Amino acid sequence: MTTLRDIFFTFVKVGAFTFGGGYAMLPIIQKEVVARGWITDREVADYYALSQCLPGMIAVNTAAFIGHKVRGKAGGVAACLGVVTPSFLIITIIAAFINNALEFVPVQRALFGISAVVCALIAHAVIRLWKTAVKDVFGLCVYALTLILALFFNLPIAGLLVGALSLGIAADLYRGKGGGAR
Amino acid sequence: MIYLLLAFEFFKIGLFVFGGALAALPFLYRLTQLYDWFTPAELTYMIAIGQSVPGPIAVNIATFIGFHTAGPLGGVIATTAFIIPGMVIVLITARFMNQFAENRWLKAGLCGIRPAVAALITLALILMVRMTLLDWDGFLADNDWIALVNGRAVIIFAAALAAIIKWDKHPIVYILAGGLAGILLAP
Repeated sequence: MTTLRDIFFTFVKVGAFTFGGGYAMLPIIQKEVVARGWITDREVADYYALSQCLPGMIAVNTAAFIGHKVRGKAGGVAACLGVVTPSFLIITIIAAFINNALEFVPVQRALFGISAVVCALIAHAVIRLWKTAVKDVFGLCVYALTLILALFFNLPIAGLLVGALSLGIAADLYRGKGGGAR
Repeated sequence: MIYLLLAFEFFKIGLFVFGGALAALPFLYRLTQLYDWFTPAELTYMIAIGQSVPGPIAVNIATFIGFHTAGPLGGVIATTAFIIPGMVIVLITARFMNQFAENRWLKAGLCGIRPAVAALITLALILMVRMTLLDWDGFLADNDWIALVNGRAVIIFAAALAAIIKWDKHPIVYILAGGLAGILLAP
């Protein structure tokens, strides 16, 4: 029987070797988890797809699914804690020293360039996201409406997401009734 | 009570974030408006560091903010509160996940959420550009169009964006290059 400690340390490894979460974690999960015979490749793909539809981080949710498959609820918790442990340790060490580092002028100058690059990385992500998320007139309307409400009216973000969810369901109902030609 | 506030805010973000770290950014910018825990400029370097070390980016940033705001215990609390909603929902739904994935209402709702998430990340981008590439506050004060644009930052931004589109390398490559460019070009 697989112990909770096995699950925890397997996911510590997954967390430590994943740069960026998301897709980057699939190869290491295949290597560590599928190779142990805990789950199949097919299941990993299913869990991964489903994790994107649920609230929370994809990496953490996928870990919870796999841990649950192996050892039930306790296994799910062990996997989640394992996958975030490397992040926690590494960031805590960096965060403890960052304020000293920021007093050096070269570090400040480097951050000037890094900030511009972070903008570029996010701009690139937005471009890619646009192609998959905004596919039709309905998507464009939701996009524009959300952006205007958030930018100019400062509405709560959680509220905007619930509103968008409701619009998606309403549009589906409308189409289902035979209306809603696009 | 700072720990309770951190737990509450990060639980909320964990509950409303779909997908990756980017979807959490609009929430994190809102935190800079609501509390004096960290500034938007500090958030930018937390994002850069979060992308440059192992682990899920949003978890890295949550730990960073928690530590920055309330020390090591703050880091533990922000990280834990952040992962709990997803974890609990997964553990509850894991048993009937197959029906769930085919659920019509879930699919329809996601059709609405995806463009909204794209819009919210665009919002985060706008805030970040305004802070990094433009001198927005100075512009509002004296309406000086020429001083509005931070030329050197725009050059680094444009070069980085072109490189990212051309070569799909890991973010850490661009972040290191940006650091070097900053040391050479920063005013």
